Amino acid sequence: MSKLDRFAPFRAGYTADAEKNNGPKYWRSLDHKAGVVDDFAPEFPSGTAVLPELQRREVLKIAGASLALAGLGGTACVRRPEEEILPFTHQPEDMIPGIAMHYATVHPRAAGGLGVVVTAYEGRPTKIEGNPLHPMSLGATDTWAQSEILRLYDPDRTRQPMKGSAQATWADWDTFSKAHFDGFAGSGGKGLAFVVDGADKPTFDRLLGQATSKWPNAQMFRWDPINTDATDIGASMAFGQGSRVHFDTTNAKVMLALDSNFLIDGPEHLVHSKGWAQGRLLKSRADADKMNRLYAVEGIFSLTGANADHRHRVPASQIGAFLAAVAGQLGSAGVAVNDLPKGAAPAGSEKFVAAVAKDLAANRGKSLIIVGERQPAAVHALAYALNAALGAGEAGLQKVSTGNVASVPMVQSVNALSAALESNSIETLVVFDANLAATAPAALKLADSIKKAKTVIHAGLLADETAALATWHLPLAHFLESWGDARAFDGTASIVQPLILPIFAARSDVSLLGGIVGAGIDDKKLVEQTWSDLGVAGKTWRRALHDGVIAGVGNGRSAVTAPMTTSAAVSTAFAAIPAKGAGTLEIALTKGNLLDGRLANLGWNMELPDSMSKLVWDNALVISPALAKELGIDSRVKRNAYLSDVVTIDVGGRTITAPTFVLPGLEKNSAYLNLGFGRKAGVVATGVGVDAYPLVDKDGSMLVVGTITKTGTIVELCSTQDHFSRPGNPFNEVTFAESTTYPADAKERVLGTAFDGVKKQSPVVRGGKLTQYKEHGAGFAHEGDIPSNLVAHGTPRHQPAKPLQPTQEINYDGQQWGMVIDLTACTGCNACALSCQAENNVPSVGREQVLLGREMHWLRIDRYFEGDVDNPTSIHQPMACHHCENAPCEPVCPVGATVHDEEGLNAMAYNRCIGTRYCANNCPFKVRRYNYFDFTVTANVYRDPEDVKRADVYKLQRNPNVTVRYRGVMEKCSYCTQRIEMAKIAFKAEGGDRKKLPDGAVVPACAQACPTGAISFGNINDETSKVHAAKLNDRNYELLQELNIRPRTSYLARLTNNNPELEG
Amino acid sequence: MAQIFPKWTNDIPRVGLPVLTVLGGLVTFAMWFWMSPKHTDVGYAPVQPIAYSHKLHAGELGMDCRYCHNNVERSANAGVPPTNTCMNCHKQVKKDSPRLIELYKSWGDGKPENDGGGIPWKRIHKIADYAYFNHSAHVGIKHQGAGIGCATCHGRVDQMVVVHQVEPLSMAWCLACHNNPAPNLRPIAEITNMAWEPDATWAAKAVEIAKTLEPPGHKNARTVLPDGQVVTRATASCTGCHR
Repeated sequence: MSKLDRFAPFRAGYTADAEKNNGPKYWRSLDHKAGVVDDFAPEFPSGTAVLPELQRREVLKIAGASLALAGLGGTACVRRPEEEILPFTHQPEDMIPGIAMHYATVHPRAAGGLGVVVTAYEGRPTKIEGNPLHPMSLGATDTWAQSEILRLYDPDRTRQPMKGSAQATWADWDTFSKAHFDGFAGSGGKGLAFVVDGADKPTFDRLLGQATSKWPNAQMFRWDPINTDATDIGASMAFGQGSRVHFDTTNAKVMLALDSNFLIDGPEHLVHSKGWAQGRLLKSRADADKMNRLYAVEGIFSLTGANADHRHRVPASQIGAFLAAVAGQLGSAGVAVNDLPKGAAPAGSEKFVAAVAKDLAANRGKSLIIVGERQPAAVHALAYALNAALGAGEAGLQKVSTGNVASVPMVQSVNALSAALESNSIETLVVFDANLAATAPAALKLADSIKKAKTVIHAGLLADETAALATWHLPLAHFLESWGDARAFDGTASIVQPLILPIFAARSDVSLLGGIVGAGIDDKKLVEQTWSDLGVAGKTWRRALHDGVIAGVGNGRSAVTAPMTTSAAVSTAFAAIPAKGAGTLEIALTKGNLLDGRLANLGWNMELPDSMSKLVWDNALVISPALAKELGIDSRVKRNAYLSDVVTIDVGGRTITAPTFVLPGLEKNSAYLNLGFGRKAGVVATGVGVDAYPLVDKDGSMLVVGTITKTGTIVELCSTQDHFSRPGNPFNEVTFAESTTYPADAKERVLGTAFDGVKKQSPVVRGGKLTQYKEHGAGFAHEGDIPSNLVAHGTPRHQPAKPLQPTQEINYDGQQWGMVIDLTACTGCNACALSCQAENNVPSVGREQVLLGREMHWLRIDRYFEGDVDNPTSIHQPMACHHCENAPCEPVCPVGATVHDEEGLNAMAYNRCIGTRYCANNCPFKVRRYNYFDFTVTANVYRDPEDVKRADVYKLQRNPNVTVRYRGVMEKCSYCTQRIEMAKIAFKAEGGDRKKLPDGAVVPACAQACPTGAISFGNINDETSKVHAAKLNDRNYELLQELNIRPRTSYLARLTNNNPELEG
Repeated sequence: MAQIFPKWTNDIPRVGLPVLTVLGGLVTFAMWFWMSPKHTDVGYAPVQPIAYSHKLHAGELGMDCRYCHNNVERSANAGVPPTNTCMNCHKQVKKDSPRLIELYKSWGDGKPENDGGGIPWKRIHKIADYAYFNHSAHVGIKHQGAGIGCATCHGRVDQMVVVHQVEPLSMAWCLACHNNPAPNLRPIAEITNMAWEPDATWAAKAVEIAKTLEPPGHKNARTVLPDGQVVTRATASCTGCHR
């Protein structure tokens, strides 16, 4: 094989008889399917070129500033301004300016901490990655962990203690605190109450214990809208008080997800998705039998549903009945279900229940049933019991741990708090980082009853809705600024260690509580004391700091296999599930990119497209096409926006108005609405979207039942899926294949004529069924590919293979970077997109700019549907620069700003770019991004002075190894070239040859964050590399192969492990 | 009717055009010459807060560059020494010198919590923010036992009382060496030797080493100039320096 044909084996020819092996046809949105053409926006919209918020006075200011600059340029010396180098007086040990330092710490989260490794340059944290040693991370992160770095640098964080609306100092607080809390000594803390969040923090809990012994009459409450109440109560029902259940998805062959988004939701979702992907990363056809199968049963369209092999639509309220029906069928199949509840299948589900139950029973010891947090505890208990009956306990798929599970569920606790406030039994309420006013069940009206407490002390990062009601608002340090500790969902304890002193005058939660209970405010000492009491000191302490997990000690919970004991209790509880309220529409209140709202003030999260709806800077009531049709609700594409009807949602008398978004695939009477929007605190968050919390009833359930009425108002929503594209031809290109489709033995061809009379275009997303794959091979992965000899370089001139793009003599020697993304394992969780944003200094641009199609994400995740509008399947495809060998962007650049380097990167020299945008215009993947404005606020002109002030804080996050791009510059994915160069330099320093890096030395930010390992990156010439093996996979395909652009990034066609019984 | 333009206006194009051409040429030349880094940056020698003499320390006392610039083999930045590096000697030496007032101000009483802040040295060598130079990558190509010496880019610092910039540090200057690194390579052991000169054996060896530095990609294939000089390209693509 000549070097030029190296990739020929991956470019199998397309022949007519291969057509029967074709995969499905995908579409992007309802409008795309319907073929709406006119209302799509052009790629470069015309129109005003000023920032919309720019007012006349600002324009004058700018004019003044520009003139002043012009003066400088004309008169001052050409030499750049004098700069200083400020060395330390005492250089800290091990700190080398220019070399990143990495510290293991833990992100304390509701329902369990996530171990992370944080990168810092000269004491400035810039990036968060997963900690491979931490059992909840295994090296991966999610969007929420990634964006914590930006939250650290949120300019809206409170900068000093506030007494009412007046600024105070910590000295004021210390004086007040001492006098105030000493006043409770006599009454034993009568009238004193503490509210804390859901994170499990040993030192904080130890101090709370001190508070209890100091003030025995003080009341303790917990509230966090992100909780695992239902899961924990369910586990207690099944395995006894204080149990917690852990799933091992790695070895599960058949999984049934019931209203569960376990791939991105819940405390252990990273582990779950990693395990799930282990059964889907097929190296070759020989592995086909190892593939696992996921069934999803749900009313809304979750990401887990999108990744399921079979998805069945059942309203959330019928999930219990569905599971009981499965139990019944399992019983008939000989599984020992004993006296567990059984029932008949809900109408329309009979076939699915039968097939699922058969599959589960056939895979005893290899099957799992996973129930979502929104479902009642009894459904969880039933699922645990069924798992046990299916042998999941013996097989180690379902493990139970016991330990520090809160004895009082969050919802009970917040109800008790409400009652206590109402009965005026609370005089002083101390709230730690819980936004009661905004997130507590709205029916409790806590925002009103809090006022009954005489003194309200609130500690938090932001002056949020609860802070507005507080007597004292105290700035809380971010976890990257604090000493502390946190336990994971399985009990693994880790130390929170600071990477930076508090940027603003803030104190950590440990320090604050230590001050209140009189244990001192030195958080490090308090944490050290907790652990030295448990024997973690000296060497073990340092080891714990280094590893990010405390080995052996303090781990109150060990995962053990336990048999199912109390099936009668489950039955009783199951019978007692209360009926949902009146109404027809079941609305799930979901945690999207903003979680419960704590991340609402982060531009990154606001601008990150929601995984399914692709909405940014908005939330909307996502409803089914059938319901929309019935109610006459319209949401259609208008340029880059969606025009959508606003509805009033009525849940038991509590009403809100919200825009709607029609998403294919929802069960008719199911809908969902993302939480966390409609906030009243923070410059970024204020007024964006709709607050969904008012719909929550006293039971705290995130599933509410209500009715909706159309108001007649129409608003613009911002959804990015249809950006940069036109229907019919997703890439807006006349493709080679469209005009000429030729068989491999063609002797000549003329551009513009179709060979067989049928115009064909190669599909962008390709996928097939496992049965098809096993039987016929990966034909579906090569649908529409044109024969390799027609695109290969060097075809003689008289043959019709002359490519549309000029081909040059390419030498594929040496280190050649490439990437393969396995669409079977990619869940569309967005972690890669946010990791890329953090690593590469990618700015967020704001709602108005996104509506003009000017978002800057280097890595976007496209979402496609396939099939019927009412019940389609969905697939996600990460899309970044493909580093084409015949890159169409390169020849059109008039200044040579984008050129190839010797290792195959399509490089972007920002300082050469003059902003013609020809390259973006010529890019068939539309992955090039243009800085229409000074989005990064690098030069402080043309910007609102307020923005400049904010940017002074934001810019602390920037990666010093990546150029910050200014206005008028094109940018795009660089394959993390800074990481490649740093790996080379590091390897060179060890005495290696930088041209021969070992496999795995370079991990781009996207691949590092990915929980499923869907992205492999490396040297495609290295025959031992992971990426080389992936390129040889028979499902490997290149996008738009007919253009002969030879992309370096290729995809593995998605496989779905179909159950033949559910087909036809 | 009287003529609007007097007769001498006929000379305007005749004389004006050549004059304009020459003027334009002069302006272009002036900008090309006087505004290039070779002219604006070379020789830059700002007044430093302490009149530190490299000639005395590195030259006469013979201190190794890496005693102070100790990160040069590990980091992108060679590093400017913290005050405590100076104080290793100056706790004893020249304790009362008025020229060291700034140093003792920075040191305070020697306790980190009481120090007077870092010494604000003026930066001399600077390349643009979008270019990423790495010292460690240059001073040690370890698997070949070669590197680029300090003196190659910084000049004979050991002879400078006041340090000034010797080379333009422009992109063209970088590429001149990247295209033909052999003359500037030296054994790793001689990196900080300011007076080192290659002998004939080394010069021949350096040409061989330079050949191994070129990347195998097609665009950077080695070219042989008409005079027989071998031009190689060590990391000559954009991504080597621009990230």
